[in-house]
Amino acid sequence: MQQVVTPVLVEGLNVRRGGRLVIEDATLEASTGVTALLGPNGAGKTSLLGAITGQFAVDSGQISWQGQRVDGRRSTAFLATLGWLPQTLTFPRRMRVREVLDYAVWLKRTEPKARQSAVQEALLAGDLEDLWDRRVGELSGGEQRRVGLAAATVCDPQVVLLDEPTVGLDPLQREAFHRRIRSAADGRVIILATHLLEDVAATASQVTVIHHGRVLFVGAVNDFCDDEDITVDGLRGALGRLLTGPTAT
Amino acid sequence: MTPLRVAAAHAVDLSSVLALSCTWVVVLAVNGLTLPAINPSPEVISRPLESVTTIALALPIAVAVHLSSNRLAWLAHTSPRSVVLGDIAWFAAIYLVQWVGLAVVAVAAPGVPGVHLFAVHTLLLALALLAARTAGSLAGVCTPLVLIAVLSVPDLVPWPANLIYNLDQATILRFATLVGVPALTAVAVQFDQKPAD
Amino acid sequence: MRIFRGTRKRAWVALTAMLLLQGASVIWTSRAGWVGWMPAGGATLERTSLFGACILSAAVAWAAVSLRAHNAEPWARVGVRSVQGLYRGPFWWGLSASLVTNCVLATTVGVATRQSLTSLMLTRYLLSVAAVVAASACAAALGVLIAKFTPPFIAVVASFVLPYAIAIGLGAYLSESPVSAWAVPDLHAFDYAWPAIETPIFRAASLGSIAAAIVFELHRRTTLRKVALWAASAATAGLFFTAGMVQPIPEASSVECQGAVPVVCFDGTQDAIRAGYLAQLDDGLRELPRSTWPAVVTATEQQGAPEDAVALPPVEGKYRPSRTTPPGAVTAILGDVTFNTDCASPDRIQLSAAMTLWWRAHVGLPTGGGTYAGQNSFSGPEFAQARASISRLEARIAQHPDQVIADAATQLHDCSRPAQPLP
Repeated sequence: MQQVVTPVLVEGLNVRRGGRLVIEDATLEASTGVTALLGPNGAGKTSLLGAITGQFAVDSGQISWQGQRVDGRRSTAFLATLGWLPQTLTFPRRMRVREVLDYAVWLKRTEPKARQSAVQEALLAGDLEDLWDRRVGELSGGEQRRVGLAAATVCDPQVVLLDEPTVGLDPLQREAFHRRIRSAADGRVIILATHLLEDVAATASQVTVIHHGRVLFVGAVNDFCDDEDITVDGLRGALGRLLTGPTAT
Repeated sequence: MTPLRVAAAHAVDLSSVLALSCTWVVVLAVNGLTLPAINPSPEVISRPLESVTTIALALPIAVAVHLSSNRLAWLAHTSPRSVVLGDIAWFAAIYLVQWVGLAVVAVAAPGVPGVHLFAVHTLLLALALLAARTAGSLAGVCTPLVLIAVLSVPDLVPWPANLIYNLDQATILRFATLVGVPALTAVAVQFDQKPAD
Repeated sequence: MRIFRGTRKRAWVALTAMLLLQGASVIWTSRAGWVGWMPAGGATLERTSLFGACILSAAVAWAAVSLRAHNAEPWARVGVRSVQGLYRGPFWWGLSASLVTNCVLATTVGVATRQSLTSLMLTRYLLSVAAVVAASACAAALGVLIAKFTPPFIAVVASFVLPYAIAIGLGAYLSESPVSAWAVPDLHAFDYAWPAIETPIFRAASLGSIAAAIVFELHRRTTLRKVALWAASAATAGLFFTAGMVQPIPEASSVECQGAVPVVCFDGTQDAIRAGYLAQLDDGLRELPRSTWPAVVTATEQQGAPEDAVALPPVEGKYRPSRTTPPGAVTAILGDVTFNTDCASPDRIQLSAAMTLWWRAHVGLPTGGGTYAGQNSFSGPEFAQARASISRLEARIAQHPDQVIADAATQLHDCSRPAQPLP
């Protein structure tokens, strides 16, 4: 039975880092499917995702999931169902792919009897069967990204946060990654932080535009583009109008 | 097994174990190289810790700092398991492993005051781990090095304040270690680890 | 670890500051052993290179390791710049900081030892400076090597520990072999004798040629590198051949006595302290009855003073004689010597303690020890007893100062006299 997933709701969020206000009065609602968090470099995308994961403290505002506040304290229920793929991935170079996934499964407090099957599922879902015994340090950048995505999505998380997941991938790898994200979006809330319009065009149904820490647009991609055919050019035009328009700062 | 999983995530593998063992071999090997006299008293004949061994203690500490950070911290961050408890357990494992090396040195090196050496090394290790957590791995590696170097220059630090080489201050050192190490560790685990350099 | 232009400049300043701080602390803490005496000053300068080499090597390793971490070597292999050229940057970055530091420290030590300046002293001193500079280049090269071939996480620490272990090993573990001629000399080694002139020349040439070979290798000057290596091997052979040849420093041990009642004798290394020493001695003698004054005082333990000279060497810490005279030190030592006793009887030991404490209080010096570094702490039971009865003694002395002091001094130094109570 498909579970009804309440959106992740961010309301009036203010986040400071190093004394500087990096997120100002941000609001975001992410429902099932891919919500793109679009903005140029330094707009505050990583900070916003970091606030949702609890990495950065929230000055004011709230973050809710399934109607419960999850900011300010580590909610183990939320964390059990949260997956996060940060922009910069680090791996122990000599750890094998299956060991990384095993560790990720263990971190999710999976029952010992179910761990092996969870690892198998992650290998299959990430198309990593050929790489299962390879050391992560020997893999290419794209392959490491796939491992990272598989590790972030072990044990079927309901909420997945992806921070610039396609940076450094070649066009073919990027296309494959988009396919994976689209298939992973079924029944999940995925928030995809990116500055690449291709990512938005290929995967997102909802978009939130953020610039200088402020949210400038929240809504469907169709409404953002004002066009049924969502293309990179259309998105570029819409973004340009938004950033230079009356609401721009 | 959970300890092996956690160890692998902290980049513990054959090469790092070998590196750690080699550093302890170096610590033992340089025991015969005596430093210029630090104890100002001309009547003192025995200067048990005044050898390059004390300076070489910075080597296993550097390896420990390298192994203290979780290369999969981004996964651990979204885990329902307690990050703080996990860090405490890992730091405790680091201390235990270092104590094994210390025990070998204390037994194999003649005349080395074992308990004093334990206290010195453990306190320096705690400071290094805290520095690594707050300011990065370079700070973690350099902190014990700077402290040892400063206290190894003859006449630079007043002898009563030289906790490393002055065996008369053993009681103060042990107290500082017993209180300081848990306190420093408790503070260190409150910080997120810095990105790898 | 990132090396960008702005960061590199700031790091250079930080490295220079660290090296200066380290060098200054070594120079300052050991000043009692070398101030005013250029041969010892040169040895001190070389001692600053002990930890200086460690810091330099570690800093260069830090800079070089970042090149490995950012995969700069594969780029260099397909680029115009060679792999050696890649590591030239950290090498010169570190060495330039060290050169600035060595200049400052050499100038400081040179100025502080100018009283003993002669052309021979200056030549020797400059040879020490050359050796320090060459050793710095070797340390910087070692940092590059360690950074290139060891795991990054251990490179910085290893490049700190290794130079120190090498230096200590050369000086201590291999002290009986010719190889120790490369070692940093002990501070006391150059008080009254030094190696034959050939040794420092060969030493500077050996280290300098090795350093030159390293520089030429980094700049891919193959022919010059080979020449430097030949020179290094020849110089090293000469160094090993002449190692251990020692000769007295001219005029250092010659004892010269001046003045009258008391006559005060100094050796050739004590020119810098004469004025301060004599002033403190005069201050002290003024407080003592003339009958207790020694006829001859010698500030040196070198042979040449008259046989009846009372040894009153300035002491500071482990330096004896020291080359500095902290305020009150000579006055304090005068009292220690005047009221010292070799007699075994408990009465005289107690009297000695009492008079020593009285003297300290009388001339305004600490009675708990601590007038000069390395001094007796006055913590024995005789001093505790003396402190309890000090006021009675003071009262007695106040009534008949010359007589009481003279009697006490006589009793303390003439063990054959029966002990008598003081008037």
